[in-house]
Amino acid sequence: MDWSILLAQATVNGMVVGLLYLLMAVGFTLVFGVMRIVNFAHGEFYMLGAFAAYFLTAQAELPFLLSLAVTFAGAVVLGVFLEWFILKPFRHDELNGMIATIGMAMILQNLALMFFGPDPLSMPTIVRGVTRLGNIVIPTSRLYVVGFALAVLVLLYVFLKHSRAGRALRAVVEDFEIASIQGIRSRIYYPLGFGLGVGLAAVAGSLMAPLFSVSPFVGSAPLLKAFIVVILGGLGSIPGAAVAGMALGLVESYSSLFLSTSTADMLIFILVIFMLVVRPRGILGQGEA
Amino acid sequence: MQANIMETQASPGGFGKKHIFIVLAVLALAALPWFSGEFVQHLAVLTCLNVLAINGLALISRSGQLSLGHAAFMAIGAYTAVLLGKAFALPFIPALLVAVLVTSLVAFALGWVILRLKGVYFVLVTFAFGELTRLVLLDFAAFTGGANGITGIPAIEVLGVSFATRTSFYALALVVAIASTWGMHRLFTRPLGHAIDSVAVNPALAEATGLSVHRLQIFCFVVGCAIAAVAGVLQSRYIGYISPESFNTSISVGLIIMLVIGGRNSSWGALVGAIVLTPLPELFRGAVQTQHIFYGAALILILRFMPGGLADLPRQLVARFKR
Amino acid sequence: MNTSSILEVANISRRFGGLMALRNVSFQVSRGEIVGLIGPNGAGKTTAFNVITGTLPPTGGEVRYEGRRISGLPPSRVVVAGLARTFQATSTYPKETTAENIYRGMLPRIRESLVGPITGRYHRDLSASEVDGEIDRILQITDLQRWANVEAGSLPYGLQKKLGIAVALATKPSMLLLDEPAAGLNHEECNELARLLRHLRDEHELTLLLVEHHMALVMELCQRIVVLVQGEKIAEGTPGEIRGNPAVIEAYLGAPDYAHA
Repeated sequence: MDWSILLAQATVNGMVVGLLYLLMAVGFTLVFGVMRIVNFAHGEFYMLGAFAAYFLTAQAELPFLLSLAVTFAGAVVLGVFLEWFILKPFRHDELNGMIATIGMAMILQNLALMFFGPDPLSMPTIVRGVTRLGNIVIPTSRLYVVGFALAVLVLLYVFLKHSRAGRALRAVVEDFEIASIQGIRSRIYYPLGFGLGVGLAAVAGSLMAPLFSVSPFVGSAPLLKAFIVVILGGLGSIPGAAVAGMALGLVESYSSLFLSTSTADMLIFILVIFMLVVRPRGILGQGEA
Repeated sequence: MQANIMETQASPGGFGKKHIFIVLAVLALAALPWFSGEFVQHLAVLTCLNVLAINGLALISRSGQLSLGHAAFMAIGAYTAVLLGKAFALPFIPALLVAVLVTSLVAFALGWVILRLKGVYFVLVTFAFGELTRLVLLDFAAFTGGANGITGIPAIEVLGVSFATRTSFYALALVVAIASTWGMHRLFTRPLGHAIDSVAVNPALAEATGLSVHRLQIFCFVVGCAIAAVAGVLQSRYIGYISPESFNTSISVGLIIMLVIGGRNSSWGALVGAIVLTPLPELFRGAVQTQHIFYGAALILILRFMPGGLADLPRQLVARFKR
Repeated sequence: MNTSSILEVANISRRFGGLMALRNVSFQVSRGEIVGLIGPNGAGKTTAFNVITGTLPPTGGEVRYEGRRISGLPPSRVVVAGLARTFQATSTYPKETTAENIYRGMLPRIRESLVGPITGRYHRDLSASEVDGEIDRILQITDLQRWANVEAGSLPYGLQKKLGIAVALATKPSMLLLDEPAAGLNHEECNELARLLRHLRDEHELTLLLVEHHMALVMELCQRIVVLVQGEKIAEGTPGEIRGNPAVIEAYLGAPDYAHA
């Protein structure tokens, strides 16, 4: 066993999974930060993104990058629509809003079951072959996924840092009260935050669709990971979600070299409890927990 | 002169003498299965077990927290009792008591840590805990039977009385369901119940009047999870089979849906929610997805238009007529 | 009157990240006094209030009540020790009546209930049969009898604030901390408040500490005043002394409240 090769492959896999967690968690924390709602439907948008990738690339034969863009736009529109029509009454009622997202998740998942059936679909790979980096062999599709994910992240970063809407959104997420005092019109940012948040989940689903399978049930695992990541990284902290997401992906990947997945899951859960006891704000979170 | 406050402060959403005819209606409903076939009896048993489990969840909810891992505590109770029965041939009641004790300890340990934090974290961690429990049960297959679960769980036999038939078990389940509902009602007419309600409605004020929010929420969480354990043990003895999927997250979500639709702030809530929703799958006759979409939509509509749940309907109608 | 100090605030500091909200603040309150805690916005009055009531632990120093350390204890334990508080914004159980709100303030005191053992409170001096009488007593003191059966949420602002004091009294405190009790009150309600507070001190042996912006009230009511500016105590003394204190005048320069006190 050449450990350096194993480690290198684990690193690449960890990065892939880490990026997935990052996208899910950032979107999730965005929704929480803006709306103070724990979005239980977040995983279902991941699932819808996966299906969108399947149909757009496999059936409509769009280039992958284009289908990503279409999926993102579609998810944002759907998110805005759902926020406006379903979640709006709960804008200042977080507990009931959260339960409403449970209802939304059930509806979305079962609509998918009705239309697509329960059997997993496998997406044809977007690109064949392997790439060699020194001694390490990586399926090229994974590299593509990493590349696209990084591109999405760069765009997200630019949006949040340099556009007016993005900066305002960050302000709302990072300090809700101060943002509303400063007159930022939170009413627009509710649907925008929700739309953007679930859009990221859908992109994550699309990116991962070629690597994992596509079925109405794929949303629950990413949802759980999003929860864990935002607890570790701090609810309401976008950088925290990013760092913790990446870290979790890598840690999981490395620990899979030595431990079974469920042992790793248990240890992570214990880590979560430990974090909550010792540092409830999370790695980079602010404010009292 | 002030009338006796403690008596007149009725359990919010509870029942009093004027509700006697509702109680009679419920009793009539409860008697029905004895005259019906196996299948109705089966539904009745499931409904009663749900009432018990949901009352446990309701207690936690009325202290201001929402547990998304309730089924996990049913699992801990069920598996503990079943494994003790199989390994040490422990009779029903000792096995039940140990199961409740173990579950309470786990709930206490978890609650102590996470109830200090904002409510949001509590929800997330209970969700994660539910998933974790399922994974542990799947993984330690040597003990738990893994994905195959454990079969051949014997019927309850206590002091020579056997509850092996559906009818006899229904009697037991009915007693338990009614006892838990009555217990909730009684609790919320007492100072302890008023204290719990205070903690949920205005925790800062409650704390400022000497009510330790943390301790009261832990109390409710531990007792609520203990009730879930009892429900889990009973379920295991009725169905005769348990597996990790018997207590997964969708079960927890189902309990929440029944609670919310039934009414979170009413002593009736669990009863109404279980009665309305447990037999529903039969109406849908296999169209499972449509049924779940209905649940999701009903949940959203209730939250929006009747946040007090169906149990609140009489009060809302009365208020509307008074206008 | 026993003039021993009932509350000792000893060198308390409180840091928030990089910000020192309180820096080595010390003062004492003697039994039976009415003391005012004033200062411009951002002076740290609310932080000091939160440290004393147990809402926040201090990052340095100690708070002692009747000789026992209370700093770092949760608010419910501080209340057990005898130190009750009111809230700046109105805080009630809105769907319960006035009388029921007051009842809820005395829950840990009821001997027959499990609330005491569960929450760890041991001052259980009321039996269930005495509850109604006690509620009546408090309704009388605070002059809220007429609204006993009105839902707290529908009471006008001034009465909700009074209800806040009533609920605090229900805990049978020996000292009362009031967080801007005059905020939002009109002139008449303010006089009523002053009358009530003096009555509590004179007839019910309560010691009072007020955090307040309403200078006229503070000057009229308080025997001693502690002044905080930017987290530090800059002056302490009688109203007369404070009024003439140059450091205080400078801190409040131009503040219309102060000029008219």
